[in-house]
Amino acid sequence: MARLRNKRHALMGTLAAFAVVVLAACATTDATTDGTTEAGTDSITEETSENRVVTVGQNPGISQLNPNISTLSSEKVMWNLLWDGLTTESEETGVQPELATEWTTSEDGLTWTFSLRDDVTFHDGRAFVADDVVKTIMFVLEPENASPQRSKLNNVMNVVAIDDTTVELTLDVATPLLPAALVDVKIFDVDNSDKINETANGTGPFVLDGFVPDQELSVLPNEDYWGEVPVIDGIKVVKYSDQVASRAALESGTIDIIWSVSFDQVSGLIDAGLTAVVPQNPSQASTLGVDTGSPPFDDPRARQALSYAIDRVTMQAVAFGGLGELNFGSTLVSPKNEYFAPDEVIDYSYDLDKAKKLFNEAGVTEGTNLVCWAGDMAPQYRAQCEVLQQSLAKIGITLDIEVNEGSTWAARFYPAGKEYAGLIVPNYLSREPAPLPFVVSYFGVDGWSPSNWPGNAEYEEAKARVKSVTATEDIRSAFADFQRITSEEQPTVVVMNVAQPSIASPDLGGVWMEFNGTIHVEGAVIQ
Amino acid sequence: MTTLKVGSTRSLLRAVYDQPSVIVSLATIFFIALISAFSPLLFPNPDEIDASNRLLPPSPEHWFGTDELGRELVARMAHAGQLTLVIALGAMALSIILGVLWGMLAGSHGWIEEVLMRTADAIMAVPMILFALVFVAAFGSSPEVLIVILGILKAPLVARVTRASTMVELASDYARGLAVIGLSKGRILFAEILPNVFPVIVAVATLNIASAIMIEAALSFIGLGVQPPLASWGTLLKIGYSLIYQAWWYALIPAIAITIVIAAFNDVGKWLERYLDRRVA
Amino acid sequence: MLVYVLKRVGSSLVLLAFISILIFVALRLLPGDPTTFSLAQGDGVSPEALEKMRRELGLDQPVFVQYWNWISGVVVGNFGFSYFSDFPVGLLIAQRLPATVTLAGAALALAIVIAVPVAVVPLWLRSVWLERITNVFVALGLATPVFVIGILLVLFFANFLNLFTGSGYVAFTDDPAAALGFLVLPAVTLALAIAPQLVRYLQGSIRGVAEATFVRTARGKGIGWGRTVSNHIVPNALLPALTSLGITVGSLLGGSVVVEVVFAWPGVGQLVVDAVVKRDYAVIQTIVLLAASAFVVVTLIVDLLYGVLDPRLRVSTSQARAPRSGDTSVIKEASV
Repeated sequence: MARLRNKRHALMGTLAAFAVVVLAACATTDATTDGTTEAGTDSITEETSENRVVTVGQNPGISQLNPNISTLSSEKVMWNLLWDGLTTESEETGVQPELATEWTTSEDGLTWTFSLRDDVTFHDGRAFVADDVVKTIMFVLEPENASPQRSKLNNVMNVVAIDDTTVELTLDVATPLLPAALVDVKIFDVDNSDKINETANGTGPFVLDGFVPDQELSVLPNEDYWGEVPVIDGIKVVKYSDQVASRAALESGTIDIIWSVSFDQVSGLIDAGLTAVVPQNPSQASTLGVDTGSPPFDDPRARQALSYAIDRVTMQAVAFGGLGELNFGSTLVSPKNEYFAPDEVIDYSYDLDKAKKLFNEAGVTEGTNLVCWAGDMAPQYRAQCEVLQQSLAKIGITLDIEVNEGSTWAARFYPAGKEYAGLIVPNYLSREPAPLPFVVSYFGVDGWSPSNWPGNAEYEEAKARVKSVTATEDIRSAFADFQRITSEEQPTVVVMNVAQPSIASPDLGGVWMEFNGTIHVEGAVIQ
Repeated sequence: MTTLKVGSTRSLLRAVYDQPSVIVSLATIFFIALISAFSPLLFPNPDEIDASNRLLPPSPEHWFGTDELGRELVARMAHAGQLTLVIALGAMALSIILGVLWGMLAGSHGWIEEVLMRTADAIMAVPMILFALVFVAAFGSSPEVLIVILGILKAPLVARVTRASTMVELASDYARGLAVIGLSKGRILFAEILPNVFPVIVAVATLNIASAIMIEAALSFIGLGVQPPLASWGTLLKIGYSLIYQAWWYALIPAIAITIVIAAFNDVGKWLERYLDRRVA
Repeated sequence: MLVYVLKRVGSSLVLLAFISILIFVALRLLPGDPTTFSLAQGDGVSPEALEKMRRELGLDQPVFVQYWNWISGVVVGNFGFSYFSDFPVGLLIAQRLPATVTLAGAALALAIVIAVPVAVVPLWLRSVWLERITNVFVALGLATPVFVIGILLVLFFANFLNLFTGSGYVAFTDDPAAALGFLVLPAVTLALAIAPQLVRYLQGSIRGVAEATFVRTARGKGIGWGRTVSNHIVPNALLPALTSLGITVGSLLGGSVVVEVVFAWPGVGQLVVDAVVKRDYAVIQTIVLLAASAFVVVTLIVDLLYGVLDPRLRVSTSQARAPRSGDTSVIKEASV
């Protein structure tokens, strides 16, 4: 019994110790938590100086640090923190020199010469030279690396370092907008690319401090930066997969900005006194894709009918939190784009009678069954399907809604050319807007839109013109034709142009959003 | 030898008197099952979108309020309840069928008993939600898949109980007598042993329903269970939670429903266990 | 004694082997593989890049070869590489382990602090209606899913009382005060989720002990009821209740998955949820194996410790194996 008693006492003693520790923790927690909440608010009003770490909350997190193989848009925030490109995008003035100071083209537009800065060093101290540009571009062009930037550099045939500060690119087709295409090609230390997630050796305004993949990235100002050293103490990018948690964190001051807030949250957050960060002219487009190679949508009248049957106003209110610009012309050129041609496009305002008539002409009669294929990666796809379902029901067409896992999207629709008769697929296009050639390359011969629209001679001609002309009026006229043709043919129905907003605390300044939704926090300041 | 005595009314009433809460639980289950089963009749248009009436609080016109698309939440809850119960019942049925066969096989054939029971232990060693996540990663999360996953998840428990019972029964003089007069093992198992094992299984089955509801709700809540446009109570809870700042009732209603239903099944299950424990001499 | 230890360790190892095969096979039954997910994100991925990815991940080899590669690595502590980030799985887990351990540890401590009084006090006061109330609360607690507890706490504290409104994580070593502030809600949630189970186990073992003859002996000797409870009943009841530690650890790990997602707690639970979304098999199989191993190891240690602490068991191991009637039903009613 004696042995047992000792053990009993030991056990009770341990339990008692536990209890004491936990009670003490509770006691201190009560005291400190009140303190923390107050301190939280205090730090926002007291620390009006710039010495603070700015925290970004986002979902999903950052998986890896190489900007040239990033496929997640959530990683774009770090593109401008750790890395620089030859050129950069600025909020007011568009494409600007960055690592390249100036550039010239040959007469035929096929040879470009870039002059580079000579005062740039990588984070590990090594000097930046033209050879780094060559290696980066070769990396991007290599198909095995699966770089999403490769298509932007499609026309680059060769890249050569003339000397340490001069690079020459040779193209096969004149590409007047090459500097814009180079904005997203970030220069990195290619020779050490296998260690990139541990060292992130770039030339950007911030250096890597710590990285837990998919969870947290923290960076510190680069004291040896060739440009303006950031004034804040550092930036953290933290993953918050739960919306309620991220909102609580924003309201309490734990984080300063939530990237890419889903549309149904927006109005609630604005009401709580927070600021929405949106692009001035969103280029990203909400679209509904159909298979133009199979019935019933191989008939352009059916596609036009669909466009008339979309209640864009309700979709905007219900699926997009009232944000964005409606696109009644239903083309890939936003009404806010400077190349928008209002006289060339059809007005597809909500009209169920026109829709019914056109559907009937195309052979889509009452009782037809169509399917709305919504991927689950974005909540608004389902909401859009549901609005469309109600509209089509009113003219006797049944729309079944299928929600599918995001990972099955690729298998179903990629690569382009797959058949999906009778499906309507909400999608979100997020690439360069007019006047960049991507827009027109999306359709037609060699196009890679999943709509399967073969285009026509007139379209191909307009496409060729867009890609080759340099004078503004010629670009304008080429795009006017592009808009006229696609508005009539409706290879893809465009609902509206909208970017997913970021929501920031009111004392965060210096943050802006590109037309394509990329958030720029590298210039953040606390006001 | 144990015989299946359903029992006199007196012992039944006595059992109910010992745990009166079982009446409330049964009534709750019955009520919810009825509403869910008849949900297409009672609430024919759960998907009626009304964009101008989004996220309204509960009121006489909208008993549970409206959701983010203006749909009646009470209609959505009724239909979702149907899916929740169907998945749970399907899982329970699968776990019983699988588990009973598993347990009887293990209890009656010594040579594979080790392997079978080790496999059962292996499944039970993994925390339930992690086990479910593994299969969701492999097979996705449609309701059919969820039924299979949850069924497999709870089968080892049934197997354990069945095996114990089977071993006890097989050792009895009655069973051994049957074997002597030439009945095949299979016949003994299914014709004589199974009916005696059954009462215990019923209690486990009821508890399995509760467990299945809880795990399915957890999976749906973190987004890896029933996906929109289908909805179970867990899915509605997830959506409600994301809107908790704008419509706190939207999360509370499914939360309460899930808790009540699990509590009810747990209560009935425990009562069955005690009552049948008494019956089996 | 040694034979007993060796037998127990041996059977645990066999069990672990079974678990690893089970997990591995389950993940490989899916048609398609992780490469299709990364494909969905980008639109410039060529078939050559896919092949390269498959080769690098070893997905082109037969299943049993893949299994052997994995398991032979696990034994030496090399858990392979994530399919997505080129990070070693071991590193990914190690980065997040402190957060989960902190959460689980705090939750366990809190749960014990809650459960022991709840189980003992009604007995001590010998109050029947207090026992009834306790039972109602325990039943309710067992039925309430962990995320409902989390939601209710968030509603109550963050929304109505405006306390603990931040959610996130700070390492203890950086800022203990803030760290505790963030820890409160998630730890309390998880603690409330597993406390009812603990109460049931304790009640079960207390009931078993309270009827034992030595208790009557103690009372016969004139020892007051309070003393009897604290010196005779509770200490002897604690040991049997300890056998449920394995299951409790399992519940903690399962519950922490949901709690970590809800409270943005950067632990291993969030890692596994992310991995499931991305179909990152390397991460999933390792974490699940480790979780199951935790259960097996804890149970093994408890069993061996029990053999040391309670001499009665060393005499006949078959008795130790027999399920106690109180326990099996509790297992069935266990929550997440």
